[in-house]
Amino acid sequence: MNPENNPEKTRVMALKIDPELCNGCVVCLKACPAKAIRVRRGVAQILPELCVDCGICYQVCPQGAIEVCTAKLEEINRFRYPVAVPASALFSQFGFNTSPNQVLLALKQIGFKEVVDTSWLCEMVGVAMEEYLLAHPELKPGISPICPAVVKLITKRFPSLMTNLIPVLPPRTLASKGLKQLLAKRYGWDPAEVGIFFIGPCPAYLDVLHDPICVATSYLDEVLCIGEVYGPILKALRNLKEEEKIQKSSGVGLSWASLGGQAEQMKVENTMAAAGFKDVVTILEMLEAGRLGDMRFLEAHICSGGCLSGPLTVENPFRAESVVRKLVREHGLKSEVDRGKVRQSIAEGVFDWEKSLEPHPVRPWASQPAKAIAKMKAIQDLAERLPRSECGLCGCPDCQTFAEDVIMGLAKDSDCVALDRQRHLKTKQREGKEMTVKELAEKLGLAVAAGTGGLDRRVTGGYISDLLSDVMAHAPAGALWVTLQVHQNVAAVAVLKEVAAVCLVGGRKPLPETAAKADEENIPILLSPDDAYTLAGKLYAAGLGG
Amino acid sequence: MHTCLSPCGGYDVTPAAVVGRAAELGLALIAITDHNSAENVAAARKAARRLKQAPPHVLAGLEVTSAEEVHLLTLFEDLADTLTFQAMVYDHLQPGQNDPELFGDQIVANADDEVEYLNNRLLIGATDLSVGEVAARVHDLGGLVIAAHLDRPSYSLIGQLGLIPPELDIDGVEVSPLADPRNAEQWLSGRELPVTASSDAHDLAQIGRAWTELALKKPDLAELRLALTGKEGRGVLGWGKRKEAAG
Amino acid sequence: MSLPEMDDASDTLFLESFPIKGSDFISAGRVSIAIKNLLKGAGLPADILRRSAIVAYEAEMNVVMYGGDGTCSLHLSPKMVRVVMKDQGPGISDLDLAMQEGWSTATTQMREMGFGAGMGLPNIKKNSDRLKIDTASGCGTTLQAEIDIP
Repeated sequence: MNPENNPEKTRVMALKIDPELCNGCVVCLKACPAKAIRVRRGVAQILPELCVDCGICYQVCPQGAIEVCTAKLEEINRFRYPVAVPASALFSQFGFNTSPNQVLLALKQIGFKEVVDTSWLCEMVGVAMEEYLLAHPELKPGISPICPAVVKLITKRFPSLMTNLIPVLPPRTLASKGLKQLLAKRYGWDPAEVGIFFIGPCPAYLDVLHDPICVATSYLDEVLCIGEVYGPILKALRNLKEEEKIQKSSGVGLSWASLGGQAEQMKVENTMAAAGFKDVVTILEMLEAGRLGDMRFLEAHICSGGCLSGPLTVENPFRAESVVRKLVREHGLKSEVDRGKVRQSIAEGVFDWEKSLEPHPVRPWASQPAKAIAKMKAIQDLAERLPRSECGLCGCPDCQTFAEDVIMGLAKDSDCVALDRQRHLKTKQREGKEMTVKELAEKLGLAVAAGTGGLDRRVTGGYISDLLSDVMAHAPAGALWVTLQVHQNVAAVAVLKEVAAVCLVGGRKPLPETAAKADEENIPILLSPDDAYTLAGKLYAAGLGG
Repeated sequence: MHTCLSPCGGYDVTPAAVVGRAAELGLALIAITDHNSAENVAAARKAARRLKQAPPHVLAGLEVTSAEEVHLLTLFEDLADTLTFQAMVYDHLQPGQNDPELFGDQIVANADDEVEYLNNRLLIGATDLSVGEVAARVHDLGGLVIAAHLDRPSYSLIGQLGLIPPELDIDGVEVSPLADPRNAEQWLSGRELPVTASSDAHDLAQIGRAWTELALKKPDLAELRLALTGKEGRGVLGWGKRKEAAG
Repeated sequence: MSLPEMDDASDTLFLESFPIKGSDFISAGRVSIAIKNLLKGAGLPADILRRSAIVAYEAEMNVVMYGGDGTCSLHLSPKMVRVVMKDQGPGISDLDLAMQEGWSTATTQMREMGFGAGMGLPNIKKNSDRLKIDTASGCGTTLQAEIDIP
C-alpha cells in the first residue's frame, strides 16, 4: 500500500509515540494490522495515512511509549458550562451494580454541568437507519456510519463502498448538534461558554473532532477517553445520591456498546456485525467483489469486540460484555422511541448529513498506470531477493512492505540486515544453486582423490590461493578451495577453515599423507586437469559465483 | 632439526632427547630450528652442557616462514640475538591461535623433559616478512640465512618462487634428505651458493639421516660462516646420508 | 471445439502467479482479492478493477469447485489486464453448453454456499474483451481472459 501522505490534510493522531521511551523494538510494528508503523533510526513512527486508530499499538507496547492525546479532564475548566456526551460503552465499565443513570449522575459530580444520555440517541439513530433501509431496499447492505474509524477506512481503501454508508447522523453528532443553543434556551447559558465533551472508548474520535465525517465542523469541543474519567467517576459513585433520572434508553440503546447491538435493533432481514481490522477488511473486500450476498445491514467496528473493547476503556472487554448483557436484560428491549416522531424528524432533515463524504483513496504506486506497473515489477523483483524472514529489523513490518518502501524511496535496501549478511548463502539457496561437493564434482567431471566421506558437504562458494597463510586468514567456510599445493598441511588447513572440499589443479595429486589426512577428516580432495583460471571459469558457470 | 615446539613435532623430540641423540650419532654441530620460534634452544644448550661425552655444539635459530611461505633457516650463536630476532618474527607472524588437534601441542620444555608451557601462537603460519627482509634482519643481527630444503616442491625458494631471486643475499642453501646434494646445481638458478644437507628431523628417528661434512677449526657459527664462504681453509667437504633409525 | 492458440506474454510488464488448490473452499476467493488489490495499486480505472475482479473470481471458483489444482497468473501491461487460469481438472466436455447462463454442474452444497449459480463462464465472457478457452474432457482447462485498458 502506498503510504505517501495525502498533502491535502494532515490528520490529527490520538496516539503518539514518545521517542524517549520507544526502544525501537518490533512489537507494535508487527502488531499493527494496517501495517502503518515503521521503525526509523531506532524510533517507531505511525504513518498517519495508513493508521486506522485501532489502538492495538498502544495496547501492546512493552515500553509504554505510546501516549494518548485525548484531552485531560481539567480541560473542562476551560468552559463555564462543560457538557458530557458519553459513548454508551461508558456504562459497561463499572461492574454489575452500577446503573447507567448512576454513571450519568457521577459525570455531573465530577464537574459536568449537563450530561446527555447518548444511548437514548442511539435508539433514535437506530430507528432512523432502519427507516433509511426500508426506504432504500436496493441498498445491499447499508453500512452503519457509527464507527468513525470504519468510515474513514472506507473513504481510503474502499471508496466504491461510500454509497453503502447510511447517511444518518451518528448519536454523538445528533447529541451535540444544536445542543449549545438548546442549553442556552433551557438554562440561559451563553453558548460561547458551553463546552461539549465526547467521552469515547477509542482514539478515532480525536480525528473526527478535527476532520468530521458528516458535518463541516464538529459540534464537539473536545474528546476525553473513558480511561481519563474512570477514576473520578469511581470516586463520585461512592457517595452518589440518585436524585435525578437522566437515563432514558432501554436495552436497545444500551446494547450499542456491544458488538451486534445495532444489528439486533435493525428489523430487516439479514443483518451482520463484524469487528476487528482484518475481518472488517475481508468483509469489505467481499462486498466490493459483490460477494456479500443478500445482506441488508452491516455493522462494522475497528475494535475487535465492538465499542466496549476500545483500547481506551478500562474494564476487561469480556466483563464489560457481561455487564451490558445484564443491563439489556434489566432494561428490556422495548424502546420508548416514537417512530412517528422519528419519521417526522427524518422528513425535516434532522438526521441528514450536512456534507457529503469525500473519498481519500490510497494512492496507486504512480500517477500513470505504466509507471505504476513498472514500480510493481521493481517491488516484485526486490521482494524475490529478500530473505522473507519477516523479522522487522529493517523497520518495516514485513519483507513485502520493505520492498514497497524501498521502491517508493522511503527505505534503502541496505536497511535489510539479513539481505546484507546472507547475500551469498541465502540467495544461492533460494535460487537452488547450492550444491553438494558430489554434485559439483559430477557436474564438472572432477575425480575424487580422497575424503569421500565428505561428498555431501554443501559448497557455497570458491576460493583460490596457494599460500596457506592467506587461506588461513581469508578462506570462507563452505568454499571449494582451489590450489596447487599438495602437501599435508593442505588437509590440516582445509579442516581448520572448514572448507567444503579442496580441488587440486594442473593435474596434481595429493601426497599420500595429505590424502590420508583428508580421508580421516572427510574433506574431499577433487582433481582437475585444468589450471586454476580455467577451473574458476567452469565453477562460475556451474553457479558457484561469489 | 626440530623439537616438540614445532607444529607436527612429536612429544618425544624434547630438547634434551634431540641433543642426546645427536651426541649418540657423533654429530658435532647441530642447529635447533623450530618453526618461527627458538624457545627450546636454551633447554637444548643446557642439556648439551650436561652431557659428559661428545656434546654437540648447539646453534640457536628458527626456521622462519616468509610471506611467500618460503622456509628459511636462520642461525645465530648468541642466544640474546636469537631472541631479538624471535621477537621480530612473533611481531610479524600472522595472527591466530594454534589448533593442537590439527597441528599438535607446541611444547616449550626444560632440560629435564618437563613441559614449561605451551606456545599458543600460530607457528605453522607465515610472517609478513619477505625473504629479503628476513635475510636483511638476520644479517643485521650477525646471523646466517640458509634457504631450507631447496629441492622440495613446497615451502622452498624454488617451490614458491621458482628461482632464487638474484639480489637475495643468503649464505647458503639446504637440500632435503630426499635429494642428492651433488645435483644441487639444478636448483641454484645459476648462483654460486654453498650447499648443505640436513635431516630436517621432526622426530628422533629422523635425526642424522642427512648431514654436511665441514672443515672447521671448531664447531661454531663463526667457523661455519668461514666454511660456507670457503675462506681460510674452512669449507664444505661433502655430505652424508643414512637410513632412518628403526623405531 | 478446436483448440485456439495462446498468445505469449511478451509485452507483459508485471507478472504474478498464484497457486489454487482444488476443493480448498477455505482459501477460495483470496486470489481474486489479491489480484484486485494489485490492480488497485496500479491505479487502474474503477470499471477495469470491477471487471477484472469478477473475471478472476469466477475463474478461480471454477477451479476450486471442479478443477483439481491450478495456477492463476496475472499479466499486466499499461494496455491490458490478462488473467490466465490453468487447471488440471476434468475439463469441460461441452463448452457451448457451459457458456449458457444458468447451466451449472454445481453440487447441492456448492449452491448452498452461494456458488454454482451457473453464471461462471458467461459472466467471465461478459466482463472481458477477449476470452480463449482451451479445454477437453479429461484434459484440464486453460482460460485466458483479456481486458483492455483505455
